[in-house]
Amino acid sequence: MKRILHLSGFLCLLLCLCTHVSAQQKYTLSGFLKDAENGETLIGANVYINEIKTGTVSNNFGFYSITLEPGTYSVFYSYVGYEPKSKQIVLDKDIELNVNLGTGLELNEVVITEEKIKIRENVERPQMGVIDIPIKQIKELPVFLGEQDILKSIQLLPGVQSGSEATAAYYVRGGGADQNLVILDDAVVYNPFHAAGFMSIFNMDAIKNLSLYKGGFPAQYGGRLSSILDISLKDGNNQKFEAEGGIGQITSRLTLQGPIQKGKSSFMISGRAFYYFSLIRAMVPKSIRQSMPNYYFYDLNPKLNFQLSKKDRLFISGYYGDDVINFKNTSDTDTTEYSFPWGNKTATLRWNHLFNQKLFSNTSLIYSDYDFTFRFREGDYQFKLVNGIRDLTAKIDFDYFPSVLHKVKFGLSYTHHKFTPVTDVEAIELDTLISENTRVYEVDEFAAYINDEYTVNDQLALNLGLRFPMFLNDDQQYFGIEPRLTAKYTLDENTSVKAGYTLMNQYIHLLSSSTVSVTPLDLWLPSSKVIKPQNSHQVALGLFKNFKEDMYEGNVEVYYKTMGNQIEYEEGESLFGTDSEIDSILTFGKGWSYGAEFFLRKRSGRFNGFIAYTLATSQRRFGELNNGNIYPAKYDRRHDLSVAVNYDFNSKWSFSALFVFGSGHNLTLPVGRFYVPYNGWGSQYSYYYDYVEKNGYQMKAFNRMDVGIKYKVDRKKRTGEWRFDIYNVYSRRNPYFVYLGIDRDRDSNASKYYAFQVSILPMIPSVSYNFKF
Amino acid sequence: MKRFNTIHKLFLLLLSLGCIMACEQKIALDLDEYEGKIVVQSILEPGKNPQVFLTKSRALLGFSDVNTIEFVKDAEVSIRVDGQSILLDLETGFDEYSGFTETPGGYYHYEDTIALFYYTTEMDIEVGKTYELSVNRPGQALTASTTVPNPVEIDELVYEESTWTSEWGEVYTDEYLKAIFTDVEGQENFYVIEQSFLQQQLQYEYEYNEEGEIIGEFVSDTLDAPNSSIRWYDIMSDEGLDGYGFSAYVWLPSQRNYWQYPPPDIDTIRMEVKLRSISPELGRFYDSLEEQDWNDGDPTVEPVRIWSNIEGGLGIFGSLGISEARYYDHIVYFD
Repeated sequence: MKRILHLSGFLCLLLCLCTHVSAQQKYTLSGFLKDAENGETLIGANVYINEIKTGTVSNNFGFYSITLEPGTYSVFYSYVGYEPKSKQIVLDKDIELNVNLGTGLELNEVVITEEKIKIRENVERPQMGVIDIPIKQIKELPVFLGEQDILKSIQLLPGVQSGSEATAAYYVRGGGADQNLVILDDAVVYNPFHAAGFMSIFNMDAIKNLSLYKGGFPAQYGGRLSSILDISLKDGNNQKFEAEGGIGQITSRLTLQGPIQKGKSSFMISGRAFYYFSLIRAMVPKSIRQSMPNYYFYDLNPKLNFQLSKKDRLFISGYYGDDVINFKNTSDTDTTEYSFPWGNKTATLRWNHLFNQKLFSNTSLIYSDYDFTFRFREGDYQFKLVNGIRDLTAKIDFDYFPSVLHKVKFGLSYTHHKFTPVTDVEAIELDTLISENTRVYEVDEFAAYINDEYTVNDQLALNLGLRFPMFLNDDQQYFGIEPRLTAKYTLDENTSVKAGYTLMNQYIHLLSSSTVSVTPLDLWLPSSKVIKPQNSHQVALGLFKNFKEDMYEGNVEVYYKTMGNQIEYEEGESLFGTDSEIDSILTFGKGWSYGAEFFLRKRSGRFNGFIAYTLATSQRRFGELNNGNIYPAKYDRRHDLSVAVNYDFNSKWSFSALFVFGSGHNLTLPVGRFYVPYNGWGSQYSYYYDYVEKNGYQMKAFNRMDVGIKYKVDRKKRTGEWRFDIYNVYSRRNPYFVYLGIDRDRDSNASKYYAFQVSILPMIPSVSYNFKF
Repeated sequence: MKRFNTIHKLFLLLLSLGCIMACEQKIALDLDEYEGKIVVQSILEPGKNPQVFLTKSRALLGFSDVNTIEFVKDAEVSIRVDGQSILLDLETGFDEYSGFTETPGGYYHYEDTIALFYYTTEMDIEVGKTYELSVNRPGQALTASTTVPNPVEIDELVYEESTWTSEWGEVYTDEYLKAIFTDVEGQENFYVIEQSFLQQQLQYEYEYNEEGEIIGEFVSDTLDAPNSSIRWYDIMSDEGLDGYGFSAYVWLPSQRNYWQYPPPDIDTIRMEVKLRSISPELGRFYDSLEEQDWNDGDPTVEPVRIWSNIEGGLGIFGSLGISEARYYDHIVYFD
C-alpha cells in the first residue's frame, strides 16, 4: 500500500509539473519532418534551437512540436543520412512548419554542412539503452547469400547476443528469446523468423525505421522484460511511382510504391520469396524430386496512407507471410503427404489526429495472428495439429508538448489474446473424427501509461514514466505498477552521464525447448494461477560522449538486471508428447544478469563504422533444476565483439567488412556414466549419465569475418547495385551444436563414445543485384 | 540475351557452390578431464541386514567396451544408528547382479560378474529409525542418511474390469485389481506397487533309513510361492494428494504380455501384491532413473540428472517399508 501511495505521488508530481508549465504564455512551433524526395515522414529527426541549446525529436509519425517564449530563433533540422537545414523563425504566434529534408533546396534557407551541426541526441536526451538504427547504415553491412537481415544486424549491437550461428534469434542483456517484444507498425509479431530462425521476416526494402530498447524503457512500451524492437514500415512515396528490388541466390524481392493522390496519399507493397529448395528440386531428376520435401517462404507488406485533412491522416498496413514445408508421395496403393505451414499475419489501422499544435494522437486497431499447423495424411487417415496465438488490440496514444521543457506521452491500450497452445485432431476418412483435443485460453490485457521527458535545466533532464498493466485470466487477475526513470546529467557540451531504473512485467510466455533454438513449434501461454507473470528490475548507468565535432560517438553502459518467475521445463519434460496439462510440466525460478557495454561509432566520412563490445554474465537458479544450484544461462556470453567498417572508394565502389567474436554458448552434456541396477531395481546393471552441471559445457568461442564489395550503377531513370559478398571469409568452423554419439575407433575397431561438434556454414560467396527506378 | 545467359550461369554456379560447401562438419571434441566418483547403491529394508554396493563412475567419452563394473574394494564403510556405528565387511558374491558388455554395433551379451558389496549381520533394519552412511577412502568421504518409512497397509484388493472399443471397432476387456490404500498424512511419500503370481509348490517330507539314506518321500503340505514378480514402473507420489486415498491398478495378465509369465495351470488366479512405501530420496532417485532412461536420445527434452542423496558422490542410500496383500478369488480364463 505504501508503495502504491509513493507511486501515486510520483504521478501527481509529474502531472503538476506539466500543468504548471503549460500555464505560461508561449507560442508553439510545430509540423512534420519529411523526406523531400518521397514524402516519407522522418522518425526521430532532430529539431534543435540554437539560442536555448535544446530541442526535440520527431515522433513515430514525423510530428514535432516545441513551445517557446516569443522571440527570434535559429532552428536546425537534421536527420542521419540527410542534408541538415536551418531556418530563422520569428516566433510571435503559433507557427506550423513542415520541413522536407533531402537534396532539394528551398529559397531563404541557410544550408549548413553536417560537420557544423551538432548531432548530439545520444548525449542530450535522457534516454539510455536505446539504439535507433538508420536503415541506410544497415544496408552498408556485408550480406549473407544476398539477403540483408535486420535482426542479424541488431545482433551486432552492444548488449545484444546472437543465438546459434547464422540464426536471427537474439538475446538482450541476459534475457531469454521470449523476452523480446517485436512490433511492426504497432502490431506484435510473435514469431519474427523464417526458416526456423535462419532469417527474419522483415523485408529491408519495406522498412523505414527501427528502434531497439534494451533498458530505460519509455512507459508506452511494456509486456516484455528484455527488449522492445519497434519497426515502422515505409508509408509509400507520395510524389512519384518507384520500384525497387533485388535478386539473390536464395530470395528475391520487389517493392512498389507511389502516390494515389500526389502529396496526399500513397501506397506501398513489398513482397519477397525464398526459392532455394524449389530451384534445387527443379535441378534434380524426377525420381529424386519425388522423395524430396519442398520448403519455401514468402512475405508481403502492403501499406496505404491517406492525408484526410491537415489534421488527420489514416494508415492501413499489414504483414502476411508463411513458411511451408510439404511432401507428397504417391504409390500404387497409397498416398502419403504432410505439410507444415506456419506464419504471421498482422493488420493495423491507424488514425493520426492533431487536436492542436501541442496535442497529437494516434488511434490504432490491430490484428495479429501467429499459427503453426501440421497436417499428415496417409490413405484415409488424417492428423492435424495446430498451435497459435491471435490478438485483437485497440489503443490510443497521445503526444502532448506543453512547453520546451516537457514532452508528455500518455495512452491506453486493450488487447484480447486467444491462445491455442495445442489443438490436435485425428480422423479416419474425411468426416469421421477419432479424437479432438483442443485447449483454448482467452485472456484480456489492459494498460495505461504516462511518460514525461522533462528538461529540468541545462544540465539535468529526466524521463519519468509510469505504466499500469492489468491482465485478466479466468482463474487469475494480475495488476502491476511499473515505474520508469532515466536521468541525464550533462558534464560538458559533448559529455553526459545517465542513470536509469525500470520495472517490467511480462504476462505471456513462450515455451521452447532448452536444448533446441527457436522453432515454429514453440508455444505461447498466458499467465495463470500456476504461471505467475515474469518481472524484471533493471538499473543502468552510462557515460555518453561525442568526439571530434560529433564525428565519433561513444558510450559505456553498465547494467544489473534481476528476473523473477522465470520458466523452464522440468527435467525430462518437453513440448512434445506430453498428455499432462502444460502447467504441470513447468518449473519456476529466477535469473539475474549484469555487464558492461562499450560502443564507438564513426558516423561520417568515407571510412565509417562501429565497434561494439559487451562483457556480461547471466545466471539462473531454479529449485528443481541443477539440484537447486546456480547455473549459467544458455546464452551466458562473457565476451561479445562486433567490428563493422565501410569504406567508399568513390561514388561507385565501396567496401565493407564485419568481424564478430563471441564466447561459446552453454550446453548440458553428460561427461560421466555410472552403473546401477536397471531402473533401480532390475536384475541387470545399466549405465546412466552423469551430467555434472546444467549448462556446464561451454561450446568453443566463435569468430567470423564477412566482406562485401558494392558497385553502384547509375542510369538516367534507374539505379542499380551489384553486391559481391563472402560470408565467413576464412571459413572458420564455428560450432552450431554438439551431440554425443558412438563411432568406431579406426585403430582398434572398437566402439567409442565421442562428442561431435557440428559446423554448418563455411565460406559462402554470394552475388546479388539490387535495383531502383 | 548473351549477358543474361552469363549471369544465369554465374548464378547457378554460386548456387551449386553454396550447396556443396554448406554441409556439416563433425569434429571430435575433448571434454574436460572427468574424475570418477563413487556411486552408492544401498536400499535398506526392514528385517534385513544392510548391504552397500560401491562402484565407480567413469568418463563418458572413450571406449564403450566395459567388461566389468568397477567395484570399489578399498573403502571403509560404516552405518550409524541410535548413536552406534557398525563397520561393514567386504563380501563377494554372484548374487542376482550381472554385468554386461557393450559390443560394437550396440549388441549386448550378459556375463556373470562378481559383485562386491559391504555387508554386516550385526544390524537389523527397523522401521522409523534413521541410518547414517559413511564411506571413507583416501581422498574421498561420502555421507548420506535415510529414515526407514512405515509400511502402508493395503486396505483392500478389488477385482474390476472395463470394456473399451478401439478406433478400428475391436472390443477389449481389461481386467485388473485395484489396490486401495491411504496415504500417510503430513509427510512426503512415494509408493511403488509390485505384483507376483503365486504358484502352488508342494512341500515334501522324506523318509530315511537308519543310515540316513532317503527311502521315500511324501507331500506334507502345499504352499503359495511368489513367481514372476512384476514391478510396475510408475512411481506414485503424494504431491498434492497428501492424506488422500489411493487406488493403484494392478493389471491382470490377459491384457499384458502374459506369455512372459507362465499362466498358472490352475483355474484360479493367485496374486500377491506388495505396496512398497519408499523413502523420499529413493522415490526421487527411481523417478530420475526412469526419466533419463525414457528420454535418452531425445534432443528436445530437458536433460535429466540422476537424483542423489550422497554427499560427495552419486547413487542412493534409501529405504523402504513393505506391506503385502494376496488375492485368490477370481477365476481368470485364458484363451
